[in-house]
Amino acid sequence: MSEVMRLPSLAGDRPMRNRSALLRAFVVAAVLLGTAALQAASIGASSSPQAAVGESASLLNRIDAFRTPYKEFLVRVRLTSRIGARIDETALFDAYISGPEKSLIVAREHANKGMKLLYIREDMWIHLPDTRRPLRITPMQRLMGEASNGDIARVSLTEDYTAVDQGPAVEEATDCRKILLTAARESAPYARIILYVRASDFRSVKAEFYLPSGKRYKTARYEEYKPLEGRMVLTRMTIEDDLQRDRTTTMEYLAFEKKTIPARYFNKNGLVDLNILQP
Amino acid sequence: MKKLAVVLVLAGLYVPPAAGLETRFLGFYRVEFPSYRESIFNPENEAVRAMELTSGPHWSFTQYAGLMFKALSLDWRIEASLQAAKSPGGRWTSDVTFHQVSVQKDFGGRFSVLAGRSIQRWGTGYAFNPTDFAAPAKAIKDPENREMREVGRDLVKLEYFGDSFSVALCGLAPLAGETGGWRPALRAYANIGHVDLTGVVLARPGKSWLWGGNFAVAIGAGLELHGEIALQKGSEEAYHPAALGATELYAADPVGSMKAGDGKTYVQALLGFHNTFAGNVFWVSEIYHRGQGYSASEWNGVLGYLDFLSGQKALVPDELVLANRLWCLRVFSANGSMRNYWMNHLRVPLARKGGLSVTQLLNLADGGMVLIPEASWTAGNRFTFYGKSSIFLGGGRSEFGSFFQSSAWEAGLRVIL
Repeated sequence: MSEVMRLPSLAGDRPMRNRSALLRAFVVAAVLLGTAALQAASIGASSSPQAAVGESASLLNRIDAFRTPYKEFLVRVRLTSRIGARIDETALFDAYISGPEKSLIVAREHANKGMKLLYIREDMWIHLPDTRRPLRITPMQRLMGEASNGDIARVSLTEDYTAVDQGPAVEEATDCRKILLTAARESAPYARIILYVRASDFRSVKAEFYLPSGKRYKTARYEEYKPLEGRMVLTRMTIEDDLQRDRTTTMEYLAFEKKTIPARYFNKNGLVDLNILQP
Repeated sequence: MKKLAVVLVLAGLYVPPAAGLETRFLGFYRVEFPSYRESIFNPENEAVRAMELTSGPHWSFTQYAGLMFKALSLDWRIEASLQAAKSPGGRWTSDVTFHQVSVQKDFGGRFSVLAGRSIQRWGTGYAFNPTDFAAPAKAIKDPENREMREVGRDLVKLEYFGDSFSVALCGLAPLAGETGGWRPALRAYANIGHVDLTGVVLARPGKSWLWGGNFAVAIGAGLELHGEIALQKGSEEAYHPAALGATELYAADPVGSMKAGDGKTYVQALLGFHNTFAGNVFWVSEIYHRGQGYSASEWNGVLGYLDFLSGQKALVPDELVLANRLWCLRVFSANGSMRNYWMNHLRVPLARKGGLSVTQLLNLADGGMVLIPEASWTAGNRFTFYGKSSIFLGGGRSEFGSFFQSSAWEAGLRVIL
C-alpha cells in the first residue's frame, strides 16, 4: 500500500439524506468501479488478432491502466455531491472488484449502512438490509432522475465501446489525444463518449458523455493521480452535470487493497447473509 | 428456540469480537388509532365489544438493535428488539423479540454454512412471495420490513455459490404448532440469459411437498419483471365449514383445514413488475392468485352462514350465536382471504426529504380494496416522521367492505440511533 493511500478520517463528513440519495451515490460508485474493474482486467491483456479490434483494445488498455492497480481488489470510495459550492451530500463505500465484470459495493455510513449493490456483467441487484432480498434493477436505471451522475462513471469502456484515436487536441492546458468511443452494444449507456487523454502517457484528462440524441450530458475531469506500487493511479475525479451546471460529484479513491475476494460475494443469493465488516 | 437464541446471544457477547463490530440501532415510536364499524361480521359492534377492541390511541415503542461481528472464526449476526405497547384502558406491556440470531462459516469462498434464526427471502415479488417457503409472510402494510417486525425461521443452511448459480440445502425447524421433525428444503438458483431463475422445494413430514419457482429480469431503462409459482397437493389453510355449505351452530371452534386431504393441486402464483420513472418515482404492480383462498361462492357461503346466525338470535342463547360469529372472523387474513388480487404500490419522492406513497390491494372478485397511503418527511439524517393509514373499502358483503375495522390511522417516528 502506498503512503498516499491511507484511509482518511471520517469525522465531520456530512451524511447522506435518504435512500434514493444512496442509490444515486451507489450507482456512481458502481459505475466508476465497474469501469475500474474493466480497466483492471484489461491490464496485461494481449492484443486482439483483428487489427481494428486490437487497436481499440490496445488503446483502451493504455487508458484504463491508470485507474486500477490490481485485477482483484478492495477500494474505499468517498463521494461528495455539491450544488454550487455547497456540499449536498456525501457517501462512503467499500467496493470489491473482481475482474472486468464483477463488483460489489457496500455502503458504510448512516441510514443506508449495509446496503449492497452487486453488478455482474450487465446485471445489477440492490440489497437493502431491511427487505432481506436482492432486488433486480437495471444497469440503466441510474439514468433516472438525479441518479444520472453515476452513469458517467459506469461506462464500461472495454466492454461497451470501441475506441478510435482522432488525433491531437489541447484540453485543460494539456496536450492530448482525442479518443472517440462508440457504443459497441445496445446496453451501453451512451451512444458516444469523447475522451481526452494526455498525449504522453494516455492517462485520462477529460471525458464528455453524450445522450443518444447527441446532446452532451456530462463532463468528467480526472483531477488527481498518485503513485501506488510503482505506477500512477487515478485518485480523484469530478463529474459535472451539463444539464444542471451547478451540480457536481467528486469521487475520491481513498485506499486500495489487493485482495482475493470469495466467489460468494458475487452471487445475488450470497448478499443476504453476507456480513462484510468494515476493513 | 428462544433458549437457543439466548445462548447464542450470550455466547456471541461473551466472546469479544475478534475482527470488527458493526451495529445498527433503530427506534420506532408510533401511535395508531383504529376505527371500527358495524358489518355483517360485526352487527351492532358486538364482535368488537367481545374482542375488547378499542378505537383510542394504541402506543408502541420499539428499540431495535442489530449486531454483526466475527468471533471464533465465525460470522455472527444478532438482531433483537424490545417493544413496549399500550392499548386504551390497558397497561403497558413489553416483549423481547429475536428477529435473527445466527452464526455462519465460510469454506473456501464458495461454501457457506449458516445456523440459527434467519430471514431467508427466496421470492421475487414485492408484496407476496409464494416461494418464500422459509420466510415469514410479508405484511401488506410494510412489505419492505422497514419497521423490522419480521422474525426469521430457525434453520440450518448449507449453500454452494457458483459463478452464476447457487444451491442451498436447508433444514427448517418446525414452526410453533407444527408436528414432525425438521423440514428439508432445497433452493437452486441460476442466472441464465440475464434472467434470475430459482427452483424451490420443501418436504413436509406427513404432508404434501411444496414445489415452486420464480424469475426476475430487468429490461430497458427501469423495468423489472418478476413472477413466482408454488404448487401443493391439498391445502392446510383453516376454513370455515360454511364455505362448503354447512349450516349449523357449533359448540366448539369449527374452523379447520378441511381441504388438506382433498388431493387437489393448489396453486399460488404472482406476476408483476416494478418500474422506476424520472424523478425516482417507483411503481410496483402485481397480480396475485392464491388457490387456497376462499372462492367467491365459498365466501358467499360464509356470508350466508352469518345471515343464518342472525336468524338464530331469537332461538338460542346470545353467547352461542356470538361465539359462532367470532369464529367466522377467522376467515380474515392480513394479506387477503380470497383468491385473486391486484396490488399496486406507487412511491413519489418529494424534495429529496419527503415522500408520498400509496399501496392498493384490490380484490378482483368483489371490487373491495385496501388503501394504504403514507406521507413521510426526513429531518436531518436520523429522524423520519410519517403518517400512514389503512382504509378498508368495498360493499357490505365484500371481503374488505365487510371487515369490522374500517380504517387505522398511524403517526410515527423512525429514528436511527
